[in-house]
Amino acid sequence: MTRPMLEVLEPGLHSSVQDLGRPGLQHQGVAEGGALDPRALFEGAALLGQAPELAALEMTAIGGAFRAEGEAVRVALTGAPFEARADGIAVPWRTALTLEPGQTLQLGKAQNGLYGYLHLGGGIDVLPVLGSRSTHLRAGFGGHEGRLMRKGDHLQAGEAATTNVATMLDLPAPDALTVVRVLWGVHADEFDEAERNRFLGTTFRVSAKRDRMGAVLDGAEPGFTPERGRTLISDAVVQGDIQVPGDGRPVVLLADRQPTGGYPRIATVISADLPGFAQLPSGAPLRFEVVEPDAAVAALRAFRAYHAALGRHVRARRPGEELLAVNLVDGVYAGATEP
Amino acid sequence: MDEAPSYPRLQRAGDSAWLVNFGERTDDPVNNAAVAFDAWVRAEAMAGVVETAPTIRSVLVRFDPLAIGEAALARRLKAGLAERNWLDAPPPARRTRWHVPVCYGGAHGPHLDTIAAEHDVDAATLIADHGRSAQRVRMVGFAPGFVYTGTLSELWDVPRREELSASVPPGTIAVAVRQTVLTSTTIPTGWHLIGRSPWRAFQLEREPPFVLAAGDELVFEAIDAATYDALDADARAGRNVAREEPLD
Repeated sequence: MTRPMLEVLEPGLHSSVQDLGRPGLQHQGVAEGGALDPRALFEGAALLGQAPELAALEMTAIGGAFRAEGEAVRVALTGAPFEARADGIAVPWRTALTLEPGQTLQLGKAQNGLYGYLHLGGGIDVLPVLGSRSTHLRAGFGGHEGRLMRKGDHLQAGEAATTNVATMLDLPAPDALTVVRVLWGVHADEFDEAERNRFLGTTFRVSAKRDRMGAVLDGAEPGFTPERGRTLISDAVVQGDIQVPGDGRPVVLLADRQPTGGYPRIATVISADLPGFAQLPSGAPLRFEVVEPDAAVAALRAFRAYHAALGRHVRARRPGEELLAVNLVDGVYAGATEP
Repeated sequence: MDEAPSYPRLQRAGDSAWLVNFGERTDDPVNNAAVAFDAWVRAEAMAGVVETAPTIRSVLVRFDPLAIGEAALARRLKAGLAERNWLDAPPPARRTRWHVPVCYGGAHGPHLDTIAAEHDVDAATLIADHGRSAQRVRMVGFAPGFVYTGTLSELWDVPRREELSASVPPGTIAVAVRQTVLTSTTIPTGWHLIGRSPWRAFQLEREPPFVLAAGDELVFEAIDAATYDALDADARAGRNVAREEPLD
């Protein structure tokens, strides 16, 4: 039996298969990895009526082109919106649609944000490695042959239980972050009060020096200097840690970070704000605001509640219906399409 | 901070992790404490704890703050810390000493001669010294199967190199600041490359892919280039090419 698949006609700039990651191996030197914007995985799952644990293609800044091979392929588009056309016809973002055999999905530049996600009905069917389908690019395992997508690759769909209904979310996309909430970090007290205040008072910009491991921030002149110099013993680091290396420019560590590090960590981005931070395009301004741990947990609770409620905001999309729908009064379609 | 912090102490690492720090030292007692306390946390199997990882002198405890409150977890961890003096903890039972074959110098270890010249000794002396005693695995981190061991003699008290080696292959043995590191994946490094082993702490084609446990020891045993090639072929076929010696 053949399963639906997409042929990669253009691989985009930096596209890799990602899922919710592989926690549990930090003691063997493996960070959890996974999609930089897990919100998008939940949205894709809701649109396609499937589990959020399934893998999708994470695309960076430029999407690429994909052609349905053999039979119809159900797809969904989430995360940062990219210009999207199916055989030349504009496709709205945050929707699910069916590509007929031979039909080509063309994904251009990100319109805002950075990481867009292409989901297949049934997920992308690659073999899980160490408990996950996420690509570990540095070590070269997981995902599609442990590497970025190339022209001519095929993305095989997993078994899908759903019908070919075009769907959309009647929720506005999350707002872009301008204030990123943090807790003071493990080494905050290595920085004197003046340096900590300067850290909070600085408008940073995400530099072009950024990838799935971390993002270097511009905007602080001079860089930040810890009081005792940099003589720390290497220790475990977590996602969201903001470390200050020798040049004083803060680096926000992301999903594919090295799991240990020896630079002082001035602050840590709260879990609920990390996906929004990762989506900031290079050059976007941001500042950091310190919150209490309780506020971080409350934000995480709201973040998870948003994921849990997504299914109630999925509805059928009529041909030609565009993003205007997000402005409709809440609840008009609820009930009629509740899964 | 003016007052000296007391240890062990809990340090908040974001909203979903505690770091249990046993002190700003790199000796055996703090490493034993970290390994033993990591085992204690795992054995407690607390709901909401996502994973733990021992480091050179601390334990990372990642948790889901919606499943266990950070204050509740902190109380459990502090109760555990109060159960005993963890700095007296012995190394874990049933650990393994791995006899790791290493081809030193030459193309596999281009910086061995530099260190020899700096200390005015010959390479053979360095090789003998490097393999003289078992080295504790102090941490696995930085990259998959990337192992930090220590502590070496003063012959190896060299700073990291100023120049980065952009891409060193899996199995590389490198040294700096009286520590050895052993790589399992291709990485960039500023450490001095002194040799290469056909053995990997992490190798996906081998079952199991990860073999080291906290508290294990490594003894490096010199092999020649021909032996390296033969063992490398074995390792690629999925065989474990380090001899295992059970301890305790």
